[in-house]
Amino acid sequence: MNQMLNIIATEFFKSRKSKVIWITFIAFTLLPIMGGFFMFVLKNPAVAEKWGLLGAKAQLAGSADWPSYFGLLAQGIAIGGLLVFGFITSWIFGREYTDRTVKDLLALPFPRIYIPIAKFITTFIWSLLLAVWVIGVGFFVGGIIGLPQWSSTVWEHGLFVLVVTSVLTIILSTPVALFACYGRGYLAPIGFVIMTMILSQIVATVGYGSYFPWAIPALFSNVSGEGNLLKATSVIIIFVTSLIGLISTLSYWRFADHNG
Amino acid sequence: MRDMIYTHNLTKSYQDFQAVDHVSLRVKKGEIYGFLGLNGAGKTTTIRMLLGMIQSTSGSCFINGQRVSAGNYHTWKQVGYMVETPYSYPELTVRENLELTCRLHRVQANSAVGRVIEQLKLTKYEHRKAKHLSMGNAQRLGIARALLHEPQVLLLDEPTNGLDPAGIVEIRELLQELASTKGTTIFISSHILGEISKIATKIGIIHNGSLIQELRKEELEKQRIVKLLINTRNIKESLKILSNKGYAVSENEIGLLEIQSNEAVTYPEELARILVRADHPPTMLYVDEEDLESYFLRIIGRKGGRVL
Repeated sequence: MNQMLNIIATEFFKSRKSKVIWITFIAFTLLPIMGGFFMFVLKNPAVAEKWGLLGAKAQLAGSADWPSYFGLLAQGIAIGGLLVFGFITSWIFGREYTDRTVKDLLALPFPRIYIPIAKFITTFIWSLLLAVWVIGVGFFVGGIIGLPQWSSTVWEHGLFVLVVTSVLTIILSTPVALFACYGRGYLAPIGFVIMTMILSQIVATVGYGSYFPWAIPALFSNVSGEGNLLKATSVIIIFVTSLIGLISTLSYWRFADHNG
Repeated sequence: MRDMIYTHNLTKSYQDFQAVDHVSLRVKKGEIYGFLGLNGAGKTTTIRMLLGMIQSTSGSCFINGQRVSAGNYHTWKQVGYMVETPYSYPELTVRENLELTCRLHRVQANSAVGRVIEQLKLTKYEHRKAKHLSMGNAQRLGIARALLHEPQVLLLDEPTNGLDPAGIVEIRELLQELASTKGTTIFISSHILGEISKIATKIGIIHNGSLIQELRKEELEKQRIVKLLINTRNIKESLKILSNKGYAVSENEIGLLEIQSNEAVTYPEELARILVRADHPPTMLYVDEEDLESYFLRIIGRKGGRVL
């Protein structure tokens, strides 16, 4: 246990010292800010027009209130999170190949799979912290704008949807790690993430989104406008996908030939 | 003395390519084993198999009596290694990189980091980020990482790459000291033959994946060809004169007389005297000792096919 904590500490140290994690924090912070901006414009179209924030021909739809804002944030996390959480995973696993430091992690006095396990834990914690940060900033921005319809029911439900969407999106990052290891760097996993984003749009459009793992968080976030849909089969599909990513990455570390 | 490193018929094949072919070698405690070979000869693949990074197709290897496998992680407690060019985390300083390795090996960082920084003369650079290190200092950092936990066995792949001449001497002396005072077993792969000849107590030559020769340093000295080269104004006549005196002399490809007999090499002045008396004084008399490089090329050329 102490050994595992040691390894996790080294992973956090490496991440903390790198600019990449902080850049993802800054990039993802744009989500609540842009959402808040959109809400502000919806709430005050005349002011926005006067300030030049709104084009003369702009046509805005939707309502400026807390439920809409929570919905917007959840959809942003479900879709943008695929990219951002996937990027964090790509970086934490792929950097060892790009920096060519992986060979120093292969013959150490503890089971070899401890390293990818520690990396998964680190990825999960960083991603969760990022989600908490985005949700926190969202609450702050919504408060500043003074959105209406604030009630304990509304924020509890909003928070529930945001947290579940975040967790579902984060745990879908495990296959990205396999692509980072097998592809020995960032390119393959980033390509995989982009491909899953495109496919999830297509599959959701033809009506099978609840069976395609990477479309499920978006459906739950009410991207289709049909409510927060989450079938039991969808949950199982997500967990099985995550488990496959996890086990295959650990197996790769344990059994593959490490030539690079 | 027991074998600290032992391989038996170690083989690695990739489809139709035999990277390492039935390599069997033994390295005893405190020995410095020089593993010589051209680029692509199979040196790094052998080291990776010794470290369990790649699985052998057949055969086995043992370190300190323990069979090497990816699952047998206890072996690595006593093994320090550096495979190919060492790389460190670029955004971390020299000290931070070393502290990170300490954590992974569960070694007290304070004393160990200070010790290796001093040993590898990295004091000036300890707070410099790894991405700003010169190639030589990056190499020193790689070696420092391998030494942090004071391993009994060191596996070093081309450790003097990128070092300046003074650095090469320092590392050589450090490794020799570790072997002699602490009994550290050191396995060094290299294609820099001169360096290996200065440091190794035993040498293995690998070519096209096969270990074609394994010999002790003293044996190497005996097997190297030493010959006397002579030039005169009249080579044909001089050859006749020396042959008549019983010397096995021949004319080599560049028109010099060549004699490999022990007597001629030990007493070249005797041949000079014979030639002077016969009115064919030598214009050049040179004892040519085969260096390790020539020896190596001769060995792989003979046993491994044409190389040059």
